[in-house]
Amino acid sequence: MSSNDANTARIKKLTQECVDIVRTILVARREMGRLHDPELRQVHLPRASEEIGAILTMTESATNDIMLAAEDMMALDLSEPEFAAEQVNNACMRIFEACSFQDITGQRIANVLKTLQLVESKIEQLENAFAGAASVEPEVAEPVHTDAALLNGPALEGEGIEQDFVDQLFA
Amino acid sequence: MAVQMNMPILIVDDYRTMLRIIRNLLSKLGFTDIDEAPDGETALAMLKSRDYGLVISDWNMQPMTGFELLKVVRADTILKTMPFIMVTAESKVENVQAARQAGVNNYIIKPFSAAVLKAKLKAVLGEF
Repeated sequence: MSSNDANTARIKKLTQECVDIVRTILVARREMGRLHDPELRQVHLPRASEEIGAILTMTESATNDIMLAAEDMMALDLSEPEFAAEQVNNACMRIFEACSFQDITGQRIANVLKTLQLVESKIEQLENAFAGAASVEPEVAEPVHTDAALLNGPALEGEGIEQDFVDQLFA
Repeated sequence: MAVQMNMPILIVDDYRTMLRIIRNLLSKLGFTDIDEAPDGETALAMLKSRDYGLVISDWNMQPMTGFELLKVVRADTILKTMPFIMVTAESKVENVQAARQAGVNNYIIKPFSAAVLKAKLKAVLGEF
């Protein structure tokens, strides 16, 4: 083989490699485009962020209520035992009420976990797309059952209704 | 008719903390016979095995939600008149309306105070 033939073969090989790279990039871009999920960015992630904010606020408020109740008990005048016992009882009930934060924050954390699982699934699909694995199928949203659509968990500030409004409905 | 403070009450919630809170609040109010269930399905079995005077149920539970439990209770010939209070963090208007349409007697939004629970119990059961 002449030197010219060898160079031509090398150029052809390089050209083919470049074409393959461009093709891979185009496929990856197309797959990434199919993974684009505006709802994740515009709804789920901001919601998760707000849920975490609400968890912080609620745990702080509950901690404060529990500490106030404990401080009230510590400050009791024990020279009147019956009155003191009643005050201790009331303070204990305030602590119980405050502990309901665990239920609400648990539900909020569950909502955040759902978003994290969504992100995880998107990352997995991206990995598959770049690895040239099976083509990424666009996600088809499952139809939401009517009752399931009512399961939203705790509302964020300004979203839900107050107990007074509920009371009006039941009046 | 005066409320029987020894009537059996069933509280249903998948959070043990909330079961304890409601149990303690009910005890504080004078109720003495309180049972607990961690989900709708268990609650339904318990309702069929004992004559309860009141159900206080959360909404968001698995495998059977409190809303499903309410609908099953209202469809049951024996249980259909059972006083049923929903205590839930679901605070959208559509939730309250759906529960009301399904026959709930009252609806309490979490978190709630002992005073709110007492007021709703009075509204459903009468003065005590």
